[in-house]
Amino acid sequence: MTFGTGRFQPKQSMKAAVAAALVVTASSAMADLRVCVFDPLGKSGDVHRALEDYRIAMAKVGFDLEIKTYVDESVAVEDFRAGQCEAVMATALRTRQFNATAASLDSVGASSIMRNGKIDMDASYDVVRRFIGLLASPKAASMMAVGQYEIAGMIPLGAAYSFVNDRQISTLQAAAGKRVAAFDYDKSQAELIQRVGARPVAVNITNFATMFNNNNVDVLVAPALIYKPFELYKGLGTKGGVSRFPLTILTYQMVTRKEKFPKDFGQASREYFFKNIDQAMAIARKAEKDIPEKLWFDPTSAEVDQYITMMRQGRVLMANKGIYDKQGLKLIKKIRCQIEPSLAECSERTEIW
Amino acid sequence: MTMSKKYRVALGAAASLLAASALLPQAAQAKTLRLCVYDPSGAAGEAYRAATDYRLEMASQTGVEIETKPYTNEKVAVEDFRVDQCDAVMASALRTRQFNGVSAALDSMGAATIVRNGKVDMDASFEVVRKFVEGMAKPAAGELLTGGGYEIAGILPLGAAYAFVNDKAINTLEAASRHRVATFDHDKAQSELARAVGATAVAADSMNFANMFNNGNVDVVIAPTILYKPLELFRGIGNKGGVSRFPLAILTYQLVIKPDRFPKGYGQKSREYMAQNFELAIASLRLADRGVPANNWIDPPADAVVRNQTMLKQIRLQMAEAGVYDKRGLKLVKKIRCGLAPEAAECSEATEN
Repeated sequence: MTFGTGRFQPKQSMKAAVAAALVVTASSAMADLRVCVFDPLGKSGDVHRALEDYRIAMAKVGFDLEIKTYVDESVAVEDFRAGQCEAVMATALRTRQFNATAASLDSVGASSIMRNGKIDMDASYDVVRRFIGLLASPKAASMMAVGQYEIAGMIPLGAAYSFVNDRQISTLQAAAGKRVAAFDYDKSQAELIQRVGARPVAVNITNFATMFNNNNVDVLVAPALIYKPFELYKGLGTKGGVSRFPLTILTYQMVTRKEKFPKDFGQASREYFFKNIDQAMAIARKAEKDIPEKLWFDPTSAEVDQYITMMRQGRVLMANKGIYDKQGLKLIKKIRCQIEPSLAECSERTEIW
Repeated sequence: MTMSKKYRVALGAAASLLAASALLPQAAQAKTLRLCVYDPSGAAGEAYRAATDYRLEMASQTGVEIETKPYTNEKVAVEDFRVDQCDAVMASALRTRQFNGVSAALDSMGAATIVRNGKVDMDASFEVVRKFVEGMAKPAAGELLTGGGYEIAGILPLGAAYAFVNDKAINTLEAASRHRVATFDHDKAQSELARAVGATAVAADSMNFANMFNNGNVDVVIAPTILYKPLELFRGIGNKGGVSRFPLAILTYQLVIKPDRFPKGYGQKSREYMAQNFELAIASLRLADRGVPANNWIDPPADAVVRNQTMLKQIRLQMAEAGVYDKRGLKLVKKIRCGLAPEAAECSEATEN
């Protein structure tokens, strides 16, 4: 399937979808559909709040939803699998199993654009915006509904950075042999960590911050968003820091069990999330400012070029293994090369399958 | 847990391999096989990383566990392989030619270069390399790659060998006349070329040639750009020198194994893996090209390109007659060149046929 990016018109199709949905709901008198939502901060978190807004908006157009919030992501996803919820909102690392194409956005370095020797965050977030917009367009609907599941929207969660307990680990070379936290449910992480000569240490959502704060791992890759709530400054101590080099921009993805929802719900829901993307972007980017300026350190332009090349190679390796999705990666490369055609990769054949 | 799962998978793969191949020599599974890897940057280098990728992938694909050992001295790596300290070695074709001349023919001077309209077409030249690597990864080529107790189990592009000069005036081969050129003992073509252009050949090896250049003991060294940073060749270049953008050869790494140590069919799987990941190596070598500052590059005058390319052809013919270059291999490479650029003069000549 091929299509250009950026020529969709969410407004009109939103109206159409909503109108269609109204007709459906009026006649089918549904029971409330339960959305299980992962927010590490529970009901005080931004994700929970965003989903409350979503619930209200969707109720106005005839979809009655119930939001149930989980602080443990694996439980949320398990409850979804077990049929306790009709939909789940979780990070793409977890939802990749339901739709790998949409989850490609969270592949290592997939949204990164290098300009003038630095990662250009505006341009990188633009990759995220365009990809989410592309998948929210009606043309992409068939890609979003695969098997019994459907992706009903994506929210950017923000860039993930390396938190290190010692600034001496400021280069990849220095990371050799160091202990790096790897989430055990994302198969790509342990491999990518080994690739750079470091040692993966299995962690999960309940213990990763403690592991870092107690010095059981030297490096933790995490979104800026959790710096404050998880008190990562404890792990950074006086010697540590945060590398201003995003490894990925993480997203939340909502997955539904398609048969439980009216036919047009998915499209309406994807368009809702895309329409509200700026709020999420603002939260994600504000979180980066929560990390004090003095903690950041910058890789040199040669290092940025090296890391970005390595991440690209890592994506190809993971795709060849079947962990990452080739179709999704190919679409994102197209977006990157639209935004910045002079990128080195745009004259190479990587990620063109 | 990923670890235990991986272990189980590996165990399962190993078990099925064992069951499927009762014919295998027992040694094949008895101990971990060792791959000795030449990388001038040691464990931190791109070649060693490629070997790590290879190790991980082959373990999951074939159940064969390999350990990798980095060497900064290529001669020692190859010697250790010869004396059975390693079961496989990854080194440049200049050194692996002794184990298989056919596949090493790719690295013959000028063999992979395509000249169009008086210019070196680098993309087309790498296309020659790609086609050769893909051809060698076909099962039919297995026979050509096996013999004398050795087997070529894969080829990886390493980059073009360029002349690094301490004076930008040395912008053609002829301009090297009366200058001191470091030549490798293990590559007779280099001293032959130096003789042909009237330069003074100064015997060197991969351990000392960079120092000779950086200390001003020689005016010219031939090296791929991946060595620019680790060997600090910018010191030898100084303010007046540069890198001549005329490839003397396109260098490759070749993986040589002792096939009796490996399960049957391993070499073929290995070649296919290496060919499949060709683009990853291209990404690494282009990264190295970008590491050379733009103002260091010297473009040879247009009239010199064709003339110099013809000189390289003469060297190839000489080396083939002397038994250094393999005639079957040269013929294969010529066939690929003429497939890509049939208009070249040599394609209607009988040379290298």
